[in-house]
Amino acid sequence: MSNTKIIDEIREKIVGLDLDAALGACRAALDRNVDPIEIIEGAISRAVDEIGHLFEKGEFFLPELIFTGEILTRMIKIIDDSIEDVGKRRNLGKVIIGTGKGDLHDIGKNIVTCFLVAEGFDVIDLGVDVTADKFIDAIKKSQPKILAISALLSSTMLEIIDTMKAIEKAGIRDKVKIILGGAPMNQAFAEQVGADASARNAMEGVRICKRWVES
Amino acid sequence: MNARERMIAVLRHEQPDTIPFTIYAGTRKLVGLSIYEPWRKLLDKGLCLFAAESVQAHTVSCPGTSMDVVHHYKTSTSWSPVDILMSMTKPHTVTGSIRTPAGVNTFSAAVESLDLSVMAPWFQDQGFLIKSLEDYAVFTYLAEKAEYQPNYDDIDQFKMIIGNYGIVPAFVPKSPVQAMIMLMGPKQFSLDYYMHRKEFNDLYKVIYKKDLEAYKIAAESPVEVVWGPDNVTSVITSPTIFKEYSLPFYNEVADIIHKHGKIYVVHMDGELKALADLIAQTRIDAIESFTPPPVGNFTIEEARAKWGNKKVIWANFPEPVCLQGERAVRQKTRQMLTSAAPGDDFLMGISEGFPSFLHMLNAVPTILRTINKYGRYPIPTSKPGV
Repeated sequence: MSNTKIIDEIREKIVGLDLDAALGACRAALDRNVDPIEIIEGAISRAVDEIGHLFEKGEFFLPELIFTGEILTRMIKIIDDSIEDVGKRRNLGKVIIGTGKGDLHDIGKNIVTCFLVAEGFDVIDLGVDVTADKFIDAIKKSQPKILAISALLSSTMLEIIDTMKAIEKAGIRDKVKIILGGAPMNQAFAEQVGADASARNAMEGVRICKRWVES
Repeated sequence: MNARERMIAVLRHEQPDTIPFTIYAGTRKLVGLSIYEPWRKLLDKGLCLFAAESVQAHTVSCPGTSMDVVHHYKTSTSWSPVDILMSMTKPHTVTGSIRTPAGVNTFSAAVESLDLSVMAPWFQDQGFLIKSLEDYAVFTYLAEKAEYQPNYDDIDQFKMIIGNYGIVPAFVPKSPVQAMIMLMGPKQFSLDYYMHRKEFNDLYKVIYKKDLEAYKIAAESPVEVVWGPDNVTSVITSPTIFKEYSLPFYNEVADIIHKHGKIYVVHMDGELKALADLIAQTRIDAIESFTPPPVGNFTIEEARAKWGNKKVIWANFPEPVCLQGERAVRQKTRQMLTSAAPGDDFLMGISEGFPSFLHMLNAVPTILRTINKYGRYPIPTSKPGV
């Protein structure tokens, strides 16, 4: 079987929601010395795109995103274990992510994290109920390309206004692209508070982050 | 018409004098409505109360089980007994354990206040009641052995308090699949659905069977409305899941509720567009907390086109609009009214959290004023202006 066919099979099994077959195909590919980078770019990254399309077409929903996220997480671990030089792993840059102050919802944030990692981002997850100070400290310390703030509660929107002001006041606004995500977010709000983008769902958020680092 | 008559008329597919506008009548809001003058006046201007999360028609016990809960307040108190007392009502976390002959379950949750009618405990990612397959045994036991008994005293008392200002429904357990989402959280729910289908289905069947007992008690209780707190959204309850797990349950309990002449209302506050055809197949009477864009993804016009007049649409005012000011609130209210024109089978309400208490204080009178001006039945089908 050619490498292209092997890579295609891995992608198909991921999108086909077949955990065992997907991981088995990945292990078999590594055993045949297929380049791990080829698996990430040819199978995983394309599968993420396809999953995004299926989600937008209304054929995939959150359970499918979570399950494919689980498949990808396990697959990335298998691949990472097989790479002696971790530096060989594709690195699209750092992203800091967290749910805004007062909000304990984390499912959307966790899905975005999982898919960003699968794409090759180095994600620093600050968790939930993250204060403006914590975001600012993390930006100063880690110098990410992107800051992603998640919220589900509309009350968190008020906190995000304060967080954006604090980042501006700290003089680091121009150091980082900022994306807002979660049900109450929209482009008008993002513009109002001075964020660079707003994503209505996890897959849109991942696509925007990729576009930023690839442009 | 008084508020109660107006709400019941719509829920029974009759014509109201004005589109009813409802708020949930939890304890804090009731205190505000009884004391705070500007709010008290709203009741006489037609504000309708829906005591959605207040009273159940049953009590429940489970033999052989016990639950211990520890409240964690950290540093939010002092030497003063008064400080200690007041701290107890403030946001904090709880940890607990449920002991059954089938095993022990531990959990943690953040609570907004000890007054749980204001904010139910929020179970966190690591604190959901079902964290792994091992926890299934405890909850299978709890569901199987639960003993439901009718208790109508609370309903009678609340009906006396609410009077003609609104409706007191029977507050039933979540439907089985929604209960499982709340027990497990979306992540575990999704993974178990795909990776442990047999165990998933077995637990569903046990909860389904037990839920029928609670719904039957509610159907026989002295209420006009049975309210299911289901938080349905296609984001997690996908069409496949809804069809296989939700639809059969809704129709079985709808028949029980209708047999006793009651109205079946279900809280569906999420994205409903992908579920529209399936919801049409249910025998639910009213979709409460129907949330149009920008929060939901299904407009009132689209819903009416799909459901005809078979479903009462009880539309939730999308709360982020409040951040855009009074003019935006007025415009959105008029737009929602126009979308529902002439207004048959349509109520409006606020069923979700507001950005702040102040936003709610400002928005509710604005929405009510706008409805009283433009929401008289029948609503003309012209385009809204301000």
